[in-house]
Amino acid sequence: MNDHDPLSRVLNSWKHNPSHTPDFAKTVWARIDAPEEAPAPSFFAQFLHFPSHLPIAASFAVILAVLAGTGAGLALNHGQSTDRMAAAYVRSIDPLQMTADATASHSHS
Amino acid sequence: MKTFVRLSLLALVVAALAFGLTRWLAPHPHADADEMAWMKTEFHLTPAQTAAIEKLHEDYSPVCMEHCRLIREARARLTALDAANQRATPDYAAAQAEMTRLKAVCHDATQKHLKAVAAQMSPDEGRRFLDLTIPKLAGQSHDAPLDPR
Repeated sequence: MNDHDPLSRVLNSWKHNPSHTPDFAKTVWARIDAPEEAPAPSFFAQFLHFPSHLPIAASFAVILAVLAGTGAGLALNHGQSTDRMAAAYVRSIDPLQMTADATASHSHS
Repeated sequence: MKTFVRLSLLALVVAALAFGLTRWLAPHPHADADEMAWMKTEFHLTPAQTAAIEKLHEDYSPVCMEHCRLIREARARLTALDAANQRATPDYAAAQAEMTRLKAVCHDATQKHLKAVAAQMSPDEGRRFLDLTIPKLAGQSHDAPLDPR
Protein backbone atom coordinates (compact mmCIF):
# COMPACT_ATOMS: atom_id res chain seq x y z
CA MET A 1 0.00 0.00 0.00
CA ASN A 2 1.32 3.49 -0.90
CA ASP A 3 0.03 7.03 -1.42
CA HIS A 4 -0.77 6.28 -5.00
CA ASP A 5 -3.14 3.56 -4.06
CA PRO A 6 -6.73 4.89 -4.34
CA LEU A 7 -7.87 2.90 -1.31
CA SER A 8 -5.09 4.37 0.80
CA ARG A 9 -6.06 7.85 -0.31
CA VAL A 10 -9.66 7.23 0.67
CA LEU A 11 -8.68 5.78 4.02
CA ASN A 12 -6.37 8.68 4.73
CA SER A 13 -9.08 11.14 3.95
CA TRP A 14 -11.60 9.42 6.30
CA LYS A 15 -12.16 11.16 9.57
CA HIS A 16 -14.42 9.98 12.39
CA ASN A 17 -15.89 12.49 14.77
CA PRO A 18 -17.73 10.59 17.53
CA SER A 19 -20.47 12.42 19.37
CA HIS A 20 -19.66 13.47 22.86
CA THR A 21 -21.08 11.09 25.52
CA PRO A 22 -19.98 12.25 28.98
CA ASP A 23 -21.16 9.11 30.87
CA PHE A 24 -19.87 6.60 28.31
CA ALA A 25 -17.44 4.94 30.75
CA LYS A 26 -20.04 4.91 33.50
CA THR A 27 -22.52 3.19 31.21
CA VAL A 28 -19.97 0.59 30.18
CA TRP A 29 -19.08 -0.23 33.81
CA ALA A 30 -22.73 -0.41 34.76
CA ARG A 31 -23.30 -2.99 32.03
CA ILE A 32 -20.24 -4.97 33.18
CA ASP A 33 -21.41 -4.93 36.81
CA ALA A 34 -25.02 -5.94 36.02
CA PRO A 35 -25.73 -9.65 36.80
CA GLU A 36 -26.49 -11.84 33.85
CA GLU A 37 -30.21 -12.44 33.59
CA ALA A 38 -31.00 -15.96 32.44
CA PRO A 39 -34.34 -16.41 30.74
CA ALA A 40 -36.97 -17.82 33.10
CA PRO A 41 -37.47 -21.57 32.52
CA SER A 42 -40.80 -22.61 31.12
CA PHE A 43 -43.39 -24.41 33.26
CA PHE A 44 -42.61 -27.76 31.64
CA ALA A 45 -38.90 -27.26 32.11
CA GLN A 46 -39.51 -26.59 35.79
CA PHE A 47 -41.85 -29.57 36.05
CA LEU A 48 -39.48 -31.97 34.36
CA HIS A 49 -36.60 -30.89 36.57
CA PHE A 50 -38.55 -30.55 39.79
CA PRO A 51 -36.35 -32.89 41.84
CA SER A 52 -33.40 -30.60 41.31
CA HIS A 53 -35.41 -27.77 42.82
CA LEU A 54 -36.41 -29.83 45.85
CA PRO A 55 -34.17 -31.59 48.31
CA ILE A 56 -34.00 -35.31 47.65
CA ALA A 57 -35.48 -36.04 51.07
CA ALA A 58 -38.54 -33.95 50.25
CA SER A 59 -39.02 -35.78 46.98
CA PHE A 60 -38.85 -39.14 48.71
CA ALA A 61 -41.18 -37.97 51.46
CA VAL A 62 -43.76 -36.81 48.91
CA ILE A 63 -43.51 -40.00 46.86
CA LEU A 64 -43.80 -42.21 49.96
CA ALA A 65 -46.71 -40.14 51.25
CA VAL A 66 -48.57 -40.46 47.94
CA LEU A 67 -48.00 -44.23 47.92
CA ALA A 68 -49.03 -44.62 51.56
CA GLY A 69 -52.14 -42.45 51.20
CA THR A 70 -53.26 -44.13 47.98
CA GLY A 71 -52.56 -47.59 49.36
CA ALA A 72 -54.51 -46.91 52.54
CA GLY A 73 -57.43 -45.49 50.56
CA LEU A 74 -57.56 -48.48 48.23
CA ALA A 75 -57.27 -50.93 51.12
CA LEU A 76 -60.09 -49.25 53.01
CA ASN A 77 -62.31 -49.15 49.88
CA HIS A 78 -61.69 -52.84 49.30
CA GLY A 79 -62.26 -53.76 52.95
CA GLN A 80 -65.56 -51.91 53.10
CA SER A 81 -66.78 -53.37 49.81
CA THR A 82 -65.81 -56.88 50.90
CA ASP A 83 -67.58 -56.47 54.22
CA ARG A 84 -70.71 -55.12 52.51
CA MET A 85 -70.76 -57.99 50.01
CA ALA A 86 -70.23 -60.58 52.76
CA ALA A 87 -73.17 -59.11 54.70
CA ALA A 88 -75.34 -59.16 51.55
CA TYR A 89 -74.39 -62.78 50.87
CA VAL A 90 -75.17 -63.91 54.42
CA ARG A 91 -78.45 -61.99 54.33
CA SER A 92 -79.40 -63.89 51.17
CA ILE A 93 -78.95 -67.32 52.83
CA ASP A 94 -79.89 -66.66 56.47
CA PRO A 95 -83.62 -67.34 57.05
CA LEU A 96 -83.57 -65.37 60.31
CA GLN A 97 -82.38 -62.21 58.57
CA MET A 98 -84.63 -62.79 55.57
CA THR A 99 -87.76 -63.15 57.66
CA ALA A 100 -86.78 -60.23 59.88
CA ASP A 101 -86.88 -58.02 56.79
CA ALA A 102 -90.46 -58.27 55.58
CA THR A 103 -89.63 -56.67 52.24
CA ALA A 104 -86.83 -59.11 51.41
CA SER A 105 -87.44 -61.55 48.63
CA HIS A 106 -86.12 -65.07 48.79
CA SER A 107 -83.33 -65.25 46.27
CA HIS A 108 -80.19 -67.31 46.10
CA SER A 109 -77.40 -66.16 43.86
CA MET B 1 -34.91 -30.45 63.19
CA LYS B 2 -36.99 -27.70 61.63
CA THR B 3 -36.48 -29.27 58.21
CA PHE B 4 -37.53 -32.65 59.56
CA VAL B 5 -40.73 -31.19 61.02
CA ARG B 6 -41.51 -29.37 57.78
CA LEU B 7 -40.88 -32.53 55.75
CA SER B 8 -43.08 -34.58 58.08
CA LEU B 9 -45.88 -32.04 57.82
CA LEU B 10 -45.56 -31.98 54.03
CA ALA B 11 -45.66 -35.79 53.93
CA LEU B 12 -48.72 -35.85 56.21
CA VAL B 13 -50.62 -33.35 54.10
CA VAL B 14 -49.73 -35.15 50.86
CA ALA B 15 -50.67 -38.55 52.34
CA ALA B 16 -54.00 -37.17 53.57
CA LEU B 17 -54.69 -35.68 50.14
CA ALA B 18 -53.81 -38.93 48.36
CA PHE B 19 -55.97 -40.89 50.81
CA GLY B 20 -58.94 -38.54 50.41
CA LEU B 21 -58.72 -38.46 46.62
CA THR B 22 -58.44 -42.25 46.44
CA ARG B 23 -61.43 -42.73 48.75
CA TRP B 24 -63.44 -40.19 46.79
CA LEU B 25 -62.44 -40.93 43.20
CA ALA B 26 -61.34 -44.58 43.05
CA PRO B 27 -64.16 -46.94 42.09
CA HIS B 28 -65.28 -49.19 44.94
CA PRO B 29 -64.57 -52.81 44.03
CA HIS B 30 -67.57 -55.17 43.74
CA ALA B 31 -69.91 -52.16 43.66
CA ASP B 32 -72.15 -53.70 41.00
CA ALA B 33 -71.35 -57.37 41.49
CA ASP B 34 -73.82 -60.00 42.65
CA GLU B 35 -72.83 -62.27 45.53
CA MET B 36 -71.60 -65.16 43.37
CA ALA B 37 -69.50 -62.86 41.15
CA TRP B 38 -68.08 -61.29 44.31
CA MET B 39 -67.16 -64.69 45.75
CA LYS B 40 -65.56 -65.73 42.48
CA THR B 41 -63.19 -62.76 42.40
CA GLU B 42 -62.70 -62.22 46.13
CA PHE B 43 -61.85 -65.84 46.95
CA HIS B 44 -60.14 -66.63 43.62
CA LEU B 45 -62.49 -69.50 42.80
CA THR B 46 -61.61 -71.85 39.97
CA PRO B 47 -64.42 -72.78 37.54
CA ALA B 48 -64.72 -76.16 39.32
CA GLN B 49 -65.01 -74.49 42.73
CA THR B 50 -67.54 -72.01 41.35
CA ALA B 51 -69.66 -74.81 39.92
CA ALA B 52 -69.51 -76.78 43.19
CA ILE B 53 -70.56 -73.72 45.21
CA GLU B 54 -73.39 -72.94 42.79
CA LYS B 55 -74.60 -76.53 43.23
CA LEU B 56 -74.46 -76.11 47.02
CA HIS B 57 -76.57 -72.94 46.71
CA GLU B 58 -79.11 -74.73 44.54
CA ASP B 59 -79.36 -77.59 47.03
CA TYR B 60 -79.63 -75.23 49.99
CA SER B 61 -82.27 -72.99 48.42
CA PRO B 62 -85.30 -75.25 49.20
CA VAL B 63 -83.97 -75.86 52.74
CA CYS B 64 -83.67 -72.13 53.28
CA MET B 65 -87.16 -71.49 51.90
CA GLU B 66 -88.62 -74.13 54.21
CA HIS B 67 -86.87 -72.56 57.21
CA CYS B 68 -88.19 -69.16 56.21
CA ARG B 69 -91.72 -70.57 56.00
CA LEU B 70 -91.48 -72.23 59.44
CA ILE B 71 -90.12 -69.10 61.06
CA ARG B 72 -92.83 -66.92 59.50
CA GLU B 73 -95.48 -69.33 60.78
CA ALA B 74 -94.00 -69.42 64.28
CA ARG B 75 -93.77 -65.62 64.29
CA ALA B 76 -97.36 -65.30 63.11
CA ARG B 77 -98.50 -67.68 65.86
CA LEU B 78 -96.66 -65.70 68.51
CA THR B 79 -98.12 -62.45 67.19
CA ALA B 80 -101.63 -63.92 67.17
CA LEU B 81 -101.30 -65.20 70.76
CA ASP B 82 -99.89 -61.86 71.82
CA ALA B 83 -102.78 -60.02 70.15
CA ALA B 84 -105.24 -62.33 71.93
CA ASN B 85 -103.65 -61.48 75.28
CA GLN B 86 -102.44 -65.04 75.74
CA ARG B 87 -98.90 -64.27 76.87
CA ALA B 88 -99.28 -66.07 80.17
CA THR B 89 -100.63 -69.27 78.68
CA PRO B 90 -98.83 -72.58 78.04
CA ASP B 91 -99.61 -72.15 74.34
CA TYR B 92 -97.57 -68.98 74.21
CA ALA B 93 -94.68 -70.62 76.07
CA ALA B 94 -94.82 -73.53 73.64
CA ALA B 95 -94.84 -71.17 70.66
CA GLN B 96 -91.89 -69.31 72.13
CA ALA B 97 -90.01 -72.57 72.67
CA GLU B 98 -90.77 -73.60 69.11
CA MET B 99 -89.47 -70.25 67.86
CA THR B 100 -86.25 -70.66 69.84
CA ARG B 101 -85.81 -74.19 68.48
CA LEU B 102 -86.42 -73.02 64.92
CA LYS B 103 -83.93 -70.19 65.30
CA ALA B 104 -81.30 -72.66 66.48
CA VAL B 105 -82.09 -75.02 63.61
CA CYS B 106 -81.86 -72.21 61.03
CA HIS B 107 -78.68 -70.86 62.55
CA ASP B 108 -77.04 -74.28 62.53
CA ALA B 109 -78.22 -75.00 58.96
CA THR B 110 -76.90 -71.68 57.66
CA GLN B 111 -73.61 -72.11 59.49
CA LYS B 112 -73.31 -75.65 58.10
CA HIS B 113 -73.99 -74.32 54.60
CA LEU B 114 -71.33 -71.63 54.99
CA LYS B 115 -68.83 -74.25 56.13
CA ALA B 116 -69.73 -76.45 53.17
CA VAL B 117 -69.13 -73.48 50.83
CA ALA B 118 -65.82 -72.71 52.57
CA ALA B 119 -64.76 -76.34 52.22
CA GLN B 120 -64.89 -75.93 48.43
CA MET B 121 -62.32 -73.14 48.58
CA SER B 122 -58.60 -73.38 49.24
CA PRO B 123 -57.94 -73.68 53.02
CA ASP B 124 -56.74 -70.09 53.41
CA GLU B 125 -59.57 -68.61 51.37
CA GLY B 126 -62.07 -70.84 53.17
CA ARG B 127 -60.87 -69.59 56.53
CA ARG B 128 -61.06 -65.99 55.33
CA PHE B 129 -64.56 -66.60 53.93
CA LEU B 130 -65.75 -67.94 57.29
CA ASP B 131 -64.07 -65.10 59.18
CA LEU B 132 -66.02 -62.69 57.00
CA THR B 133 -69.41 -64.41 56.93
CA ILE B 134 -69.98 -66.26 60.23
CA PRO B 135 -69.94 -63.10 62.39
CA LYS B 136 -72.70 -61.69 60.16
CA LEU B 137 -75.13 -64.51 60.89
CA ALA B 138 -78.13 -63.46 62.94
CA GLY B 139 -77.61 -64.34 66.62
CA GLN B 140 -73.92 -65.12 66.17
CA SER B 141 -72.06 -64.81 69.45
CA HIS B 142 -68.78 -63.83 67.68
CA ASP B 143 -66.68 -65.97 70.00
CA ALA B 144 -67.01 -69.42 68.49
CA PRO B 145 -63.82 -70.80 66.96
CA LEU B 146 -64.11 -71.22 63.21
CA ASP B 147 -63.15 -74.29 61.25
CA PRO B 148 -63.57 -74.35 57.47
CA ARG B 149 -63.72 -78.19 57.37
